[in-house]
This record gives sequence, structure tokens and C-alpha cells, in this order.
Amino acid sequence: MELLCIRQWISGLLPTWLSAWCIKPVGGALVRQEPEYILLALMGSPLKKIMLCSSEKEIFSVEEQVMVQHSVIINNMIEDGSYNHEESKIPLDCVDSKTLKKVIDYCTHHTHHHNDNQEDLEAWDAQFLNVDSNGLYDLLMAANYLEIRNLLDLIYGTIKNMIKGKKIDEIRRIFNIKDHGFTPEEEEQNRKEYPHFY
Amino acid sequence: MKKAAYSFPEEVLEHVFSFIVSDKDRSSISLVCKSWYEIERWCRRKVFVGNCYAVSPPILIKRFPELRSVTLKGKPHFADFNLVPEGWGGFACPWIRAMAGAYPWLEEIRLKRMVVSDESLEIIAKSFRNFKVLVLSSCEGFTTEGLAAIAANCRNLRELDLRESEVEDLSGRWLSDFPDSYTSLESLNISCLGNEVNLLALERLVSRCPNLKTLRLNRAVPLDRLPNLLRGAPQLAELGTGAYTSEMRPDVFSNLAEAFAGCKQLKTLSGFWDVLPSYLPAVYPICSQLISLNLSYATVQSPDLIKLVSRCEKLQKLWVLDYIEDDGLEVLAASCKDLRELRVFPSDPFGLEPNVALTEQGLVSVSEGCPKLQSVLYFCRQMSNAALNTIARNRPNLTRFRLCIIEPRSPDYLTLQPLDDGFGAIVEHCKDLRRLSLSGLLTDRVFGYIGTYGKKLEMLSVAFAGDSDLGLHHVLSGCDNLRKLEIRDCPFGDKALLANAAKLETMRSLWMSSCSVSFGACKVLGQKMPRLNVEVMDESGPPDSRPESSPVEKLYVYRTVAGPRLDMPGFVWTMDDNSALRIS
Repeated sequence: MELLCIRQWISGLLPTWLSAWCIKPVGGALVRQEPEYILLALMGSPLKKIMLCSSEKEIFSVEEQVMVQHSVIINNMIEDGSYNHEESKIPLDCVDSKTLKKVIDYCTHHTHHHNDNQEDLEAWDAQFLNVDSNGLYDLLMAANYLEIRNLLDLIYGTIKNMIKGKKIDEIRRIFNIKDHGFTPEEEEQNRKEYPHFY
Repeated sequence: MKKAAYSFPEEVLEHVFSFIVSDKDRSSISLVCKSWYEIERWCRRKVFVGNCYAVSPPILIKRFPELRSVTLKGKPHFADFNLVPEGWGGFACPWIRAMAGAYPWLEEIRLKRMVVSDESLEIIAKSFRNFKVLVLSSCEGFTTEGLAAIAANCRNLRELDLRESEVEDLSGRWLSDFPDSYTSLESLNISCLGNEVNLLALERLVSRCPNLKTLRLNRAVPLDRLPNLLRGAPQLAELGTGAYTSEMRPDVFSNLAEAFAGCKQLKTLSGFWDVLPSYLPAVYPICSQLISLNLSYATVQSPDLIKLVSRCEKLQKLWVLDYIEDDGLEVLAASCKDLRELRVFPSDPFGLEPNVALTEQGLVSVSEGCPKLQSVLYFCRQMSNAALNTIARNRPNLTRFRLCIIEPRSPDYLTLQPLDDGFGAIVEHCKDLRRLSLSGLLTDRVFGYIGTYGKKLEMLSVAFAGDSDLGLHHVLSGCDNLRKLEIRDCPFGDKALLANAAKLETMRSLWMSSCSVSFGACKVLGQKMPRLNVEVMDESGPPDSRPESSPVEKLYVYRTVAGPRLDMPGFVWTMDDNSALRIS
């Protein structure tokens, strides 16, 4: 609908007492809050976007609902009002653009596809985490910082699977462990006693 | 933000490690790199020590400062067949004393084939405030006084399991030492106790513990007290009855049947000493929900066993006496399609003639009819290569196969040939076989097959088999995953042992008794391999009082980081690396 039509339609719908509340103090002056924003806020509009800023100063616009559902940190910021939609962007100095984009992908997909069947979601997750261990590390740090529980659990599970049941030489390769830190004698003895682990 | 090589922070790794609990995986983690070794050892909560002499209490405590659960095994497996003399070792006390000081928050202790004193039990009772689980499997050396200390002091005890231990039963009073306020019992196994326990105390204990899931009574609990106990614990999942006999009275029977029917969660039954067959139908109401049935004490005949077993369509595990006979096993094969494990024990192992109609055919039927069968222990008096071949082809998913043909060196009864090809078929087709016990007439050829095909084999038991060292050599050089090898009365000697000395460091232990290993070879082995304890056992006197070439009575070799043990009895000598005979 045209913005004008929405405005008229909403003004018609709003009870008088709420219309009176379309007033918000900003910088000492009373400013009339646009009614459609209030109603949209009341409805939890999926269209409302927020801005996230990567460490490389790149801005990503993402649906508020998506990030609020997944990130405890962002949810708290929105709830306590420290994020102003018109002006603010959330600076994420520890997350680079590549990682931030992936995090947003994850949250977006899981919000929009939460009704998908379990198998499909798991397949998507597996594909999503098909990154090298550096990438996994960056995602883990970002998920931890933003407190995205399900992404964290997913990554922990993946790291677990990189270890469980694998031979030691393979684990070292996957985790890029070049210097194992054992003395040559220790390493030799270990290989002698546990040959089938290597 | 590119890193040349990154590493996950310690907290991350610790968190990930907390999801990885199997001993094998934890060992793996600690071998990846030094920093993982450090992180892992601080967050290890559970440890399994397969041989208590492979490590010492101080070494364990130093490496793992925060344990909550410890499992220790003592004597070698052949102790079960009385091949390990009294006083050999496996003393739990030094461990328990050390852990009492180091692990105030220890929750679980599981011991197998160890000597446990009342003093040790008292230390456990007083030292660990949050103690929850005590399992003493095939242990000995303690009395009911020690149990009384546990009962009186362990407020948070959940599990007390004395399976197959030898307990000096001084009095059944100890059960009353559980305070009235104590309600956290979940599992109680007193099946090995000889005397009567205080039945009133037992009933009260059972009825006030709402989480009691496992209750295994001893023989002395009379059948007519069972209904009351069951009514006090309708949530029971596992029950071991006491003596299953009584004067045949209809009210006792109906009382019992009703009580059983009331246990809707009961899935496992055992006990059944002195069974009166006419009481067996009392369990019929719950047969359809049973997954595990241990009738190894039930001396009832095949028709009664058939009637019982045919009703247990969900059965996964059956332990039974050979009274079941081939007919009964055929019915089992037809009725219990979910069967995973079968053990058939001999009712009269020392008799010269068969007393029951149980032959290789019974096992063949089960192998045909039960697609999920993985684990077999079978005592019988005759076997053929053809039958073994059939079993192998029917059940390539077998993981444990222990065959005990009662008479040593029995050939294939049809062809009079050795059973090499039959067992060869087993190892060839059952690619995931982890445990194998051989019997019957066997030459070196069977060991050739085992070395070639037994790549996943972890434990091998051999008796009265083979022709020469070549047999032993095949096994030691071929079985990549071998952990435990136990041999008795085989003509295996020095050559194979010394040629494969390095292999022994990759295994938990090797037992050889009444073989052809010379004292000289034992000394050489001890010298060559400082990380092995080479223990010679000889009850007829010090081995160096005889020529170097004379065979030792018993040899037990195991890897260790603790050096020679210091608690050996007079008939055990360690071959030290300075080739002096070391006695404790």
C-alpha cells in the first residue's frame, strides 16, 4: 500500500488515547512519532531492518526480527533501546565482513526456514559449515561474541566431529597443528604404544 | 584478520572435549599435541585402567587431578578359571588410600578382580562426600562389615553392585545400616551373598527408594517375600529373584503372578535358583516386555524353558544352561528375532558323557534365525567345520565368538579333522570380530587364518591348540588390534615371543601358562623391554634353581609405566632389565 494510504488507514484505526501517545521526546523537544511506525512496532514488522557494521567498516542491512531471534546481544540492544533505528548501526569490530555475512546468512535462513523438516535443515547446516578450520574459528568467535546459541552448538558439534574417531595425524592436519610439542622420544614412544591411533 | 595458523582458545577446546567421553577418544586427544594433552588432563572426569599395574596411583593422580570416576581391573582373566594362585595381587587398598587424599569429590569406583579389604570400604565410606557408585565385580577380601560402613555413611549412594564377588557374609544386619532418611538407591545387586539379609530392612529400603531400577537379590531371599518387594518397587526395570521355589500353593502363585504383572517397566530378569517349574508361569505376564533373561542358574528342562522363551519376542540377551537343548534353541531362533547375545552354559561340565541333547545344531539354528546375533558363548561337546562354516556365513556380524568344546583337542566329529577351517571361516567372514575363544583340535593353520583375517580382533583365548611357535607368531604379527592374549597348554615357546617383543608394548597383556617358554627367554625379554613387566609365576620354587632352558609354569607380561610392582607374593618374580631376579 502507498505510505499515505497506510497512514490514513492506521490513523483511522488507532484509538484516540494511543494517538495521543504518538509523541516522543527527542533532544528535549516533543516530536510526533509517526503512527504507522508504532503500529508496525506493535505488529513486530519483519520489514524493519537494522544495520550491522563489520570490522572492515562494511554495513550490512538485515531484518531486525532475524537478528533478534538469534543473537542475545543484539536482542538486548534493541530491547534496552540503545539502538536507534534511524541513526544507529551496530559496530562489530571483532567480526570481519566475510564472517558477518555468513552469520547473517545463518540467522536469516533459520528464521525463514524454521518450518522446514529436520533433515533439510541439517543438510543446509552441514553445507553451511563446509569451511576450512580458519573459517570455522572465525564463525565460532563471532557466534560467541553475538551469543547465537544454536550456531555455537552447531559449531561445537562440528569441532567435536573433527576429533572424534579420527586418526591423530588427520586431526593435526585438520587443526593445522604443525608442532605437536612432544619431544622426539615422547612422540616415538607414543607411536610405538598406540600405533593404531596414528 | 588472516592468521597463518590459529588455535582454538582453551575454553573452547575444553568445552568440545566435554562432549567426547570415550576412553579411546580421550587418549587420542591427549596424543595430538602437548597443549591438548594439558587441557585434556585437567578436564578428564572418568578414567578406565584396564590393568592396575600398568600405572600407579601417584602417576594417575598427577596426570588427572580432577577425576570423578575410576575403574580398575586387577587379576588376569584366567583367574576366573583358578589359574591365578591366591595372593597374586590386585590389591585395591593403595589405590583407595591415594584417591581418598587426592579426589575428595570422587563419585564412582568400579573394581574388577581386585582384592578389597573392609578397611578400604571404610575409607571409601568416610572420604568421599558425594560418593554415588560402587561396583565390585568378581572381587574378594571383604566382609559384610565393610558393606555396613558403606551403608551407614554414603548419603548419596545410588548404586551398590557386588556382582560375583566373594564376600565373607558375617551377618545380614548390614542392610539395616542404611539410615531411614536414605532414599537415593537406584541399583542394588547382592546376588553373591551367601546368608540371609534382614528381610524387613530390605523391604523398607526398597519401598522408600522411588528411583530403584535394579534389584538383584540373593538366593536366600525366599520366593514368598518377592511379591511384597515387587509391590514396593513397581518401577523396577531389572530384577534378580532369590530362590525360585516354595511349597506349591495357589495363593503364593497368584500373589506372585499379580506382583510381576504390576511391574510394567520390568525388562530384565535373573536369579532363578532352585526353580520349581510350576512357578515359572508366574512371569508369563511380563515375558513380552523382557529384553534380557539370565537363566544360568535355572535347572529346568527344555520343555519349561521353551514355554518361557517362546513368549519373549523382544528378547535381546539370553543366558541359559544347556538344558535348553537343540530343540529349545530352535524355538528361540523362531521366536526371538531381536536376539543379540546368547550364552549357553554346561550343566554338567565334568561328566564324561553328554547329559543333554545339545549339539552344534542348536547354535546353527540360532545363527540362521536371529539376524542381529552379535555375541556368542557356547559350551558343547561336539562341533564340525561344516557347522562353523555355516554359522560364519549366516552371521558375518558376529563381534564376540567364544566356543568351548568341553573335551580338549576334540576334532571335527564328522571328519575327525582339526577345526582349523571352521574357525578360519569365522575370522574370515566376521570382519568385525573383536573377541574370540578357540577350542577343539587345532593346528598352526588356524592361527595363520587368525593372523590374516583377524584384523579387528582385540582379545584371543587359546587352550590346548597349535603345533609350534609359528602359531603364536602368526597371531602376534598379524592381529593389528590385539590387546589381550591368553594362552594355556600350547606348544608355544621362545622364538615367537622374542621375535614379537615390540608387539607386546602395544598390548595390554599376555598370559601364557603350561607352554614352552623358557626361563632364559623370559630374562631376555625382561632385559630387552624395559617398559614391560615380565612376571614369572612358579609355585615349585625360584626359576633360577632350574636350568635356563626349563619352561616356566606361568608367564604374565604387561606394559606399564610404573616399573616392576612391589607387592608380589613369593611365587612371582619380575624379570628386570638388569637380568637379576627381582623379588618384592
